[in-house]
Amino acid sequence: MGKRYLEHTKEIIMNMGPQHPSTHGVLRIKLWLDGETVVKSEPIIGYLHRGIEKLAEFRTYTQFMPITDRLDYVSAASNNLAWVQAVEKLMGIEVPRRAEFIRVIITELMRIANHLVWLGTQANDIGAVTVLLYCFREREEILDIFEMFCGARLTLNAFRIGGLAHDIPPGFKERVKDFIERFPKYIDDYERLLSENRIWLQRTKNVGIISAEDAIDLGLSGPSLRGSGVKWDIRKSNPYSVYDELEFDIPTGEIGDVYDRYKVRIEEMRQSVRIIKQALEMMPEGEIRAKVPRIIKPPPGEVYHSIEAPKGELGFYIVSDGSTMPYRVKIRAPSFVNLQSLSKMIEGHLVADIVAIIGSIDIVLGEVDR
Amino acid sequence: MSIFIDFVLIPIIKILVIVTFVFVSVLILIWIERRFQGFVQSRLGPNRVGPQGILQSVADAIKLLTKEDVIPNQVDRFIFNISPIIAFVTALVVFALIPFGAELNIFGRKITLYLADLNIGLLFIIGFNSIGVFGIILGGWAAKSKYPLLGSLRSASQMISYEVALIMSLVSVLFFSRSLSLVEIVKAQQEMKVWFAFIQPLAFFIFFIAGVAESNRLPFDLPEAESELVGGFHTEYSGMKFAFYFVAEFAHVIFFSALVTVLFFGGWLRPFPNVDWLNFLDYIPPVFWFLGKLAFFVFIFMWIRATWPRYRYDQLEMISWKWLIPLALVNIFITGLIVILVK
Amino acid sequence: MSLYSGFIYFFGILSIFLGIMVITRKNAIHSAVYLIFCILSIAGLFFLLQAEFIAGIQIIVYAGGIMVIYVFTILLIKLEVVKGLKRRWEIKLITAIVFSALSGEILYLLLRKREALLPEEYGIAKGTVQAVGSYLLRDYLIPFEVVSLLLLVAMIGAIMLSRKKV
Repeated sequence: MGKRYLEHTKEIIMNMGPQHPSTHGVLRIKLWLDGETVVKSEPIIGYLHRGIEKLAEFRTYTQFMPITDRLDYVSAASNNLAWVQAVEKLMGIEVPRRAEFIRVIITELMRIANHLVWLGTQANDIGAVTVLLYCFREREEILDIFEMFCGARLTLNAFRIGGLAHDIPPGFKERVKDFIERFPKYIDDYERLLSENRIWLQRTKNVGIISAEDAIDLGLSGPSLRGSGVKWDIRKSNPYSVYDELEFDIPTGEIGDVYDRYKVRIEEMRQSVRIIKQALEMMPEGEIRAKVPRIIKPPPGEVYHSIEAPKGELGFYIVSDGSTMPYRVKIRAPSFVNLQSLSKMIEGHLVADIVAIIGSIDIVLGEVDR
Repeated sequence: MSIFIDFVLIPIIKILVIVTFVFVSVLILIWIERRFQGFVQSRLGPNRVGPQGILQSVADAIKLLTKEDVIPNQVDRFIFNISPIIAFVTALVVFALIPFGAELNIFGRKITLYLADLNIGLLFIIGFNSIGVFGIILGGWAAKSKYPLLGSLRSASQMISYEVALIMSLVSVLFFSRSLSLVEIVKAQQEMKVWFAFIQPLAFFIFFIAGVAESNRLPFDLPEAESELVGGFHTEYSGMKFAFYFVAEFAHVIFFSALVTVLFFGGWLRPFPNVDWLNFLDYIPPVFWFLGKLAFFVFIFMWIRATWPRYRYDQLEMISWKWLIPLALVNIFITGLIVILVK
Repeated sequence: MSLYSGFIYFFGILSIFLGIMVITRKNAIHSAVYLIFCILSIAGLFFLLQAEFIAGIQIIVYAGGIMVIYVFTILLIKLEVVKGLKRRWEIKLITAIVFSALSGEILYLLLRKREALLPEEYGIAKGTVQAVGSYLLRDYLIPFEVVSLLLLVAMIGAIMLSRKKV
């Protein structure tokens, strides 16, 4: 295009959000648009800042647990797991095997629930409303299972430092088994609605591509990174809990577009089913809580522990001064880091693609802003 | 006196009947759509107001009418007020030409079941359809806000490009009907003893796709793509004016289903007009066949909406310009060739 | 006064009113909206004169086609509202002369012949699709083709001019 033409066109600056149906919360993206093409973009965050890291300094280690639920509120159990394991690492507590298996079952169910929310909202953003409701129907069953386990459905506060609060209730195993028997068929249903749909393919293929190098440079983790073809999963590379005893594959994509990230997450749900199946069989009888002092007082020191949360690497860095409350807590939230790559992905795409791309990174603002 | 009855009284009654028909069917349609979507999506849908929630749309209509009419400060009031009316009126006017049936004898007087039979019927419909675009372009612009502006720009280009495909697909039908009047088109199908959909499947296919695009329904509902543009062109509208747009959209759906029925599926004719032993079907009133076919196409509109994702703006333009229009041209060429050769 | 002439007067007066509104609006987009209505009302006149094809074309081409482009352009280039034009008196004089000459001519024609001016009474066929079609494709085929060639040339020229420079 000659320069003569450029002088007459003017970019529109448009604010997408903080109130917008598909920014998944209160994200605001400042867009410089040429027509409908994005020239430049800048995510603006902080609308949901609650000072969670600071709150930790005035809570005991146990009291901070319910607050971790509020980080990534669609996968609360994963946050709980990362927190309790970080504290256990700091104190050197060995958790009983039965508790470890129950934790794995709960967090893998949480992963499925999280991916269902993601799939539903992503499909809704691209216009397929029905998938959203199908996903939420299945998520409802998982939430019922959670309710059975700990009484809560969304903010679970599922685990305790050193193990669990209660053993699993009677009938829990059968119910989980029943659900994971049926669930793969539901996944096939979603795939029938989307994976073979020409419109869906056109909307997701070659959109929001991020190369493996860029993805690593920007610190992406989780399914968004694996979509670019990098085989990096903390459950495998740095196994925690009992993941080293369980068999599962790490699905990866090829070019790192929206479609690859979609495929990776769909496959991850299948792998989670596999993990739960094994964990149910391997779960031994026995204690569910280690011997933990009544007042949790970790020795002075610091620890970093990270797990593979549904959205990516979730890490807690704790500095302890030997008192009942942590001296400092830093949370490495996957959504916050993954959001950095948004600007790179949406450059040169249309407004409609932004929506698809935001969906494909799978962010939750509770975690971005903390 | 007879002139008064023929030219004033009967047309006025007909207008009232048609307008009532459109309004009532829009209200019912909204309810059916919500219930149907609920059924597909394994939830209930509205079921509280009246039996099975059938009065839900009535309640919604009352709410919208009695709601405060918010006019934002920055808008261009004249245009802002007039554009919903344009959209609404153009969506209603075209119903004047739809033949609901052939003729009825009431009190010895022959009454035609359509308001007007223009010999340029199709041109008139296309013309008013293209005026309906103004309702959206101007409405989006008058709101002086960015999302509506993007929505109205999208809809303008979408409607212009799909109108081309729409008109082109009609030309090959006209080879057989030899008239632009909707009544004559149905009568031509009666004489040829075949519905045009079976001799012009490609034209029907193109026309239906373009019809879905023209009425802004999924997968072509870009002007109001909720997840991208919030509400699209009607973001700033509320209350009564929003209701106008809403009714206009559903009226469009009904209208296009009616048009497909008339042009490709024999209007008020019974199924298989060429099979003689099915003659007993003639005892069922023609209006029933017409409404039945209409309901079927409305159902397809809903079905598509419940199943498919949305196209992107550039892909949508590509479908029209690179597929539908060339296909329609090829179809015209082949049909013309066949008509000449058969002669 | 019959119903028919009543309608003629109605659309005539409406067209004139809308025409005046078009040229007196200060906001270009308002003028455009009035122009759309004006075109529609003239289409109504064509209908009454039984020139139905012309009426249909008037709606499709002018109201539906050209006006969309007009409105589009006005929306995109953001016209400033005109704040009182200053014109020299010569221009005003010429405008007045042309205007009064034209309107005088129309008035004279109207007053001289007071009968209805229906096309049939002048021996012209009805303005139906068939009539117009046979005129265009039988009697005036060559001029018609030449005109369409001209339009094609104009279209190609416009595309060439607006093409991105490579």
